[in-house]
Amino acid sequence: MNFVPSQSALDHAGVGAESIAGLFWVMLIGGCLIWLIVVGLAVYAIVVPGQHDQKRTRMLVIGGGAVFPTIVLTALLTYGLAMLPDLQRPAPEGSQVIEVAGVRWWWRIHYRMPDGNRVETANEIHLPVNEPVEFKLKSEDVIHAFWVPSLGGKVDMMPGRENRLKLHPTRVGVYRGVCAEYCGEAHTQMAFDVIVESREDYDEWLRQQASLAVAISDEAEAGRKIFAGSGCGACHSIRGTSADGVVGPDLTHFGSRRSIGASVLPNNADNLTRWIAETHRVKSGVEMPAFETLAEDELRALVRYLGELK
Amino acid sequence: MLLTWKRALIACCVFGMLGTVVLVSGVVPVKASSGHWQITRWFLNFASDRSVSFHSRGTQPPEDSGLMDARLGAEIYKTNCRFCHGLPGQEQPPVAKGMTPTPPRLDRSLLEKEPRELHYIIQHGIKFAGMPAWPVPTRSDEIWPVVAYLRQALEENREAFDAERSENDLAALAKLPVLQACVDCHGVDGVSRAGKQVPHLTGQAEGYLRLSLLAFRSSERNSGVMMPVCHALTDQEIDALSKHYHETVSTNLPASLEAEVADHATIERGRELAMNGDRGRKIPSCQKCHGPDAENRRDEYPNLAGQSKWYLQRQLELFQKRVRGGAQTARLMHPIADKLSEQERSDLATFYASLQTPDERPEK
Repeated sequence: MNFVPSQSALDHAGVGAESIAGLFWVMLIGGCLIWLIVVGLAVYAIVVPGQHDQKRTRMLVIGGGAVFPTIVLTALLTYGLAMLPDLQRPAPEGSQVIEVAGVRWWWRIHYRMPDGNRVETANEIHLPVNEPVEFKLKSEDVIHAFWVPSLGGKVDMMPGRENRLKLHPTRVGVYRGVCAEYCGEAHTQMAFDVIVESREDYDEWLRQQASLAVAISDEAEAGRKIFAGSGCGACHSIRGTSADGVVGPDLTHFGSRRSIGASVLPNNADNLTRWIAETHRVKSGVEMPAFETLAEDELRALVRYLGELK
Repeated sequence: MLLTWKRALIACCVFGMLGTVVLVSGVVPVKASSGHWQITRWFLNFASDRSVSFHSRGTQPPEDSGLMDARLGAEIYKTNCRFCHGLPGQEQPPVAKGMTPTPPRLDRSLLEKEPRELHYIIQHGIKFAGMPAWPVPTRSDEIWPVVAYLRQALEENREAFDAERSENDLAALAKLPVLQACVDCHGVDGVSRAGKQVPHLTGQAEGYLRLSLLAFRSSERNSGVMMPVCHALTDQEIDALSKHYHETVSTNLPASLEAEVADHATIERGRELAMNGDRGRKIPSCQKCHGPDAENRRDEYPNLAGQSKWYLQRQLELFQKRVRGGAQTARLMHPIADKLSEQERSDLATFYASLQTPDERPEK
């Protein structure tokens, strides 16, 4: 699988994205037609010699300059607005609700469970195919924007208020979401993966995300001690261990994620090692300090531990 | 003879040439053994006094008398000043006497100088006089104890100002002679004997102690007090000292006075921030790295419980100003310290100062 998944509004895989793509094509074709007419008239005016008929000219100016744009724009507006109620309609009662908060420069994600609990994860969203899902969008610092071009529209995340968005994916696959509002140094490295899968796979994934950290091998136990002793738990949570920090991403099932650093690098041992030891070379500006002082074997154990958190 | 431009120019050229000949030939002696002429000495002293008086205006001694601890000053003096000046009131040592100008004998006439003037001289040194500047320009707070000591020693006419050493101290020194460098400030058991500016070392993590001493030795951690002390230590001595203070756990940590008088609300505010951090402002908790009760705390991280409030707060300030320095791990503190307000630094320091029992020792 390609590491960078589709991030094109034209490669639509959701109800909202499909109508937005339709709107795009209508606009594009209409725009081309108008362009041809305007340029054609201009050429005509230049090429045909002599005085043009006064009456016809006046009609052309009024018709082409005022009447025609009014009709076209009204039609387009009507067409565009007609799409809105559908796009804006909340997902039906009982749909999955996902809270996403933009944090410089990553995504804090909570799945609301039927029992009222919230399951926290980060930087990766799983969705069941052919089901509408309701998003609650917030920001913990500055203005961000939540956008999965293949699945739907773009919505701002404002500090101090909650915006909403419905996504209704129609095709299984991996898609890329991005922050679409400049939010500072690492804005371009603030992305996330959206995995659309069958209801069974999704249920299995959510059940596992809701569980505590998995039991780990003896080798990884050394890594767990380093994680605890180096103070990683002051920022990160790993549910089921002493790590209960709330500043950074929850890492309870870190090993199950596709990527690290908010979809900056594929999640593998080499990249994770680099991330921990040279954080700011990978992603300049992040809050996480680089842990340069960890010895090689300590790093190895730590990476192994995090990788086993499936 | 008439003074014309042409003649003046010729005279200048002739003098210039003569001067060059004298300079290049090397006939002028630079030797210190002949001393200065009386008038040169007077002139240099006068110029220096005037300059110090002028430039030191506006400097004020700290209001808190706890920051002018003569016991600490006495020990700093022994490391940094005594080699040239001898003890206050006494003759200069023989080697220093050979200097030109000779380092002044520090007798009661020094009391005529204002404390701010003494502070200025110690901080900046004096050009052409062999008086060096303080090793760290950014730590002028370390100088006030020396000023306090000088004034007290001269006022009380005490030649020596030796800290008292108990039988216990002497026994420990016999076993580990290099403790000599530490004992009068940090005690044999790692409990400060020289006021709140001196951290307690009792039971501190061994790795942290070693890295700190190494950082002082390599001037990566800034202190005009500790850098000269550590400069003289070998790797083996640093290892031995780290081990000693790590293993010596004193149960009689004195209560931090500032924490004692702090109100309950301050301590609780500090506790909340230290234990839970602040998600909104992205401040991690202190507890995971510094205790109390941190799981598997890394040997390189210091335990903060029971330190003096002043010391802890000062470290946070120094981190924020980027003048503390330290081992590589110290950089982890910079972004955190940047986010703390003065009030929060004070709350956190008060909370840790209020923890009287030394934290559990980190597992090796």
